Amino acid sequence: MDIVEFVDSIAASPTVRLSLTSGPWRVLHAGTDLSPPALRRASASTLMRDGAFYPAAAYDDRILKLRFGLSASTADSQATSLQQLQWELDRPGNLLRWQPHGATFPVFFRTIRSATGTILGHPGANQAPYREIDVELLAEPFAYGLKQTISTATVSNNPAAGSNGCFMDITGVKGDVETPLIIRTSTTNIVGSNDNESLFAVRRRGTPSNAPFLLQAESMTVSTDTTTQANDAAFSGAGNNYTRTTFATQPGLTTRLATTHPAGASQDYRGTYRVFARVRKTVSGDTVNVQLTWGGTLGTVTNDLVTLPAGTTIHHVDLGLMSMPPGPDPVTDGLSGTALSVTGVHVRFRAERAVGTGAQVDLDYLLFVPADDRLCVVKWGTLSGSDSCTVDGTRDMVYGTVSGAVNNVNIAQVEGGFPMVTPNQTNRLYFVRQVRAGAITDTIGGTNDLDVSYFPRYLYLRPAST
Amino acid sequence: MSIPIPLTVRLVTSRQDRHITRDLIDLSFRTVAPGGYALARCALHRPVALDPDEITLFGRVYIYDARNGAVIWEGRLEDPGRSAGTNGEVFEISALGPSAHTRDRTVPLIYVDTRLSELATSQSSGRAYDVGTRESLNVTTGALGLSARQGSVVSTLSLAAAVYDAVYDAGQDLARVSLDWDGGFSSSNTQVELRTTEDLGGTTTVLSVDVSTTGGTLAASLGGGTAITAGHNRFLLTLRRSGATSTVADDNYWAEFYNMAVLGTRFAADGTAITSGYNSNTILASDVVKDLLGRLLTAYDGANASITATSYAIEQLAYPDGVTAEKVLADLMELDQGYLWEALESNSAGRHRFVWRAWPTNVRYEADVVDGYSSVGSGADLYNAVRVRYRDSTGRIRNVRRTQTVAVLDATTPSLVREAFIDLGDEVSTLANAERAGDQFLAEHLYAANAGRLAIARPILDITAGRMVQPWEIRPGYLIRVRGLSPKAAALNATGRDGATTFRIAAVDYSVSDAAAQLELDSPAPSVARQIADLKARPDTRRR
Repeated sequence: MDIVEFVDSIAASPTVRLSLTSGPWRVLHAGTDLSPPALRRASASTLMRDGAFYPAAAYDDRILKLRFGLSASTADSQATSLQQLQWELDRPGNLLRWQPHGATFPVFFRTIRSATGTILGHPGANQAPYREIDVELLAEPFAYGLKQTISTATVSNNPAAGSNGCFMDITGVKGDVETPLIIRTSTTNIVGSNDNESLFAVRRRGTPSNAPFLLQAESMTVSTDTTTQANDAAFSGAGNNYTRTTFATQPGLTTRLATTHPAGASQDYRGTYRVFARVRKTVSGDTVNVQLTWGGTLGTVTNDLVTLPAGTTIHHVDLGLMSMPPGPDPVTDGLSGTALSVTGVHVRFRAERAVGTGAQVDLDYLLFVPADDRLCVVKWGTLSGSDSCTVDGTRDMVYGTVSGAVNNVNIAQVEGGFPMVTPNQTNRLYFVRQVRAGAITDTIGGTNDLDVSYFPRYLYLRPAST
Repeated sequence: MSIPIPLTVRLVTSRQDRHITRDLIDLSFRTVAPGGYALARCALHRPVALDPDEITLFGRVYIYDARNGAVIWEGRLEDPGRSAGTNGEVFEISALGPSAHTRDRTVPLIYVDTRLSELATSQSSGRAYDVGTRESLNVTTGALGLSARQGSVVSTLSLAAAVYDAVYDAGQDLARVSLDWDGGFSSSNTQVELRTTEDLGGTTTVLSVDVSTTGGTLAASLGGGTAITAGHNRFLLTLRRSGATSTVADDNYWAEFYNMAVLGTRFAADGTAITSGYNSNTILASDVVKDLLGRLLTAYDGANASITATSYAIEQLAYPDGVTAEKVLADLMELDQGYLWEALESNSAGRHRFVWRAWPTNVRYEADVVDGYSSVGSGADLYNAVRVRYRDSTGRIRNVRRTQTVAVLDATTPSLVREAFIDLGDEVSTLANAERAGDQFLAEHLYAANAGRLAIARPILDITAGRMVQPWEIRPGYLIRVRGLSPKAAALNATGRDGATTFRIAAVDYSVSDAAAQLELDSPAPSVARQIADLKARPDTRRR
């Protein structure tokens, strides 16, 4: 027999508030309908073209149509059972667990306050008539599976690290549709006195490992007043691992490094990226501006000029968005559905020393963080006293905890979209620990342990393994 | 794209910082050029009996692109209206963009003033003397005359004096005073003088020259070679008898002053006072913008504002009756119609990015009409002549007529003359500025303005950004080329709107309910609401 019961949590052994498939209750097959939710679409159509264009779609809330049979020996016990049902239906929010007969795992519906519908009584042998109760239970679009916890990943602050360099891969995601992530990490190396800002982003299509993420400065072609430098442990990479621009002959804005990145062509190059440069200037008070230009060798897109903040620490600066390919992208070969590859893009790193005479600028690398899916920047706040901080995509919030209890000393700020993962796909979660200069020291050798979890989302049933 | 719209909404107050995307009933926002972020509306369910921590007057509203973290719109809560009814308990949130800060303050401002009519007889002027504006022998714009009649007794150290108070009344200091002068006689016993003073204190003689029929120029500036004392805010023009008492023998005992230019002190965009460099009798619109940023628009990041330098020399720009920054910017764009301003996202200090830039001459967006297009542009927007009414420096009402060639009008038989009328009122007081305003008007009416709407529901090409962009990423203040209209090869080389296929984007409205952007082309689309707003926006005070 199916299990249908109101419970207090999405857990393997939750407390059952009311079982609707035991005691006096039965869920009747006829009249019960737990169909998936409808899909709402926005459409744009005119008589200037055939068909319509659908710019957006989202699932609507679902209606769980349940028909219960209630058998009770006495009228009073029947009234008690009905009252218990009313209590559960009247909660502003509730959880209905459903595990079909023979299914390995249940799913949980997050329901919304609803009312009973028709109650029909059928006279019978007992003192209290047998009653059939129809309920249309409003619920969130998706059914939820048990919380899934990914093994803790140690994410390196060095994008050139042998594994998990500023990212972690999340595979075997369960569920039918995408679902938000819950990411917890220690406040160590995240939170400081200067409101550190970290970035989370995801790539959820194709082969994320082929995405053009890292471009080492020493692999680019150097030009005006720029040379590669001997190994410095503060920078990433082996051998000569950074470049220095001295502005000796040309302090004005001009190209310092250039290359086509990445080499070759691939479908996985396609996308929009937010480009970060890991830089250091050698004289705090001088004004140094940097800029990214990109595109073909003849036609370029010029991003905004970025002024390096005061200070001589190494930090990331945001050079803005770029796109591969630049300009229009057909994505597929006509209507065939066959994806076209994309070549690398010519990128130029430009710099100037606008004020001062001494500053030089060192470039470690350029990071191309996917910015066409989900990306958010978290300003942690001090969160003093917290031992962990959680980026909760299910609640759209960031909060601190101490020994598991919520403990917010400062309110963390988030801009952008919280990360999500997609089933049946390798998901790469990018984590750049420090994207704002002047915050905590960004050491290339640092690491952060990320505890990632999620609640799978289903449209109907949950299979045994997915 | 058939996935949920990747926009997120965040409310920030002193008590709470919360993403409310899941709670929204609807969301729409509007961005305009000029202006930047203008208006946003959303509704969400909250108990009306409570004051939610995240909803309060002047709380910040952020709308982000969830894909890349970019700010799509930002503003402050202006009207958290609440209601309770069949739809439940709802907070209807209306937020204004940072462009609203240009209306926060109304202050008098004197940038450059040529109005001789502002010179009044000083209390130190002797009874034997006459002070007043009159027709000039030197210029058609009139002059201020200081004189003594034949037979008058001019005593030793007596003087005719005219005082200028407009900068003082505006709360500014003198930055520059320049006038040409002429004399009816030559004598070493009588001097023409420029004196300055702080408030009602004693005067400092800045310049004193013997009266002469040759005439000359009196010019002094703050921090200049002939310096105005810092803090001085009033000046006097005098015809002073330094010699022995005498009886005026004829009617040549006079001096007249003309081509006056008075500049008030200004601020740099970062708020620091400018104490030197007032070397010109005119002012640039870009310098006025910097002053507004430093003086009034402290909600903007003046220090890092992007201000494109203008070149047109403005001869008259004064608001003694008080003015908002919005009105000043509107007047600047009237004089320099190739420019616009935007107030956009805030920085970490909460100050908004400000841009003063020229309308681009390159097309930025490429789009099609398949999602909907309407145009109400008409021949009524075409003019080949305009008459501009203005007041000159002596306060007299003048007008000047400007013309241009409009091929469509000339092609008719007989050719049509359509002449507009611009009443600058007291807003411009020089011939050059009036001609400029007229020429700018005609340039804007060379082609019929589209005044229509283009619906965009799908990604379009952004040439500047080098990628396809979603409807909510489209920004006003740029050119868009629209396919599906009357095509012509020249459209591929458009350097401005052409009234046919290339248009200026005046405003963008995006609504998540239909997941489409409505672009207003060339000028805001006509509507009853806009007409009412225009009526309300008509100023009670006039620029002098």
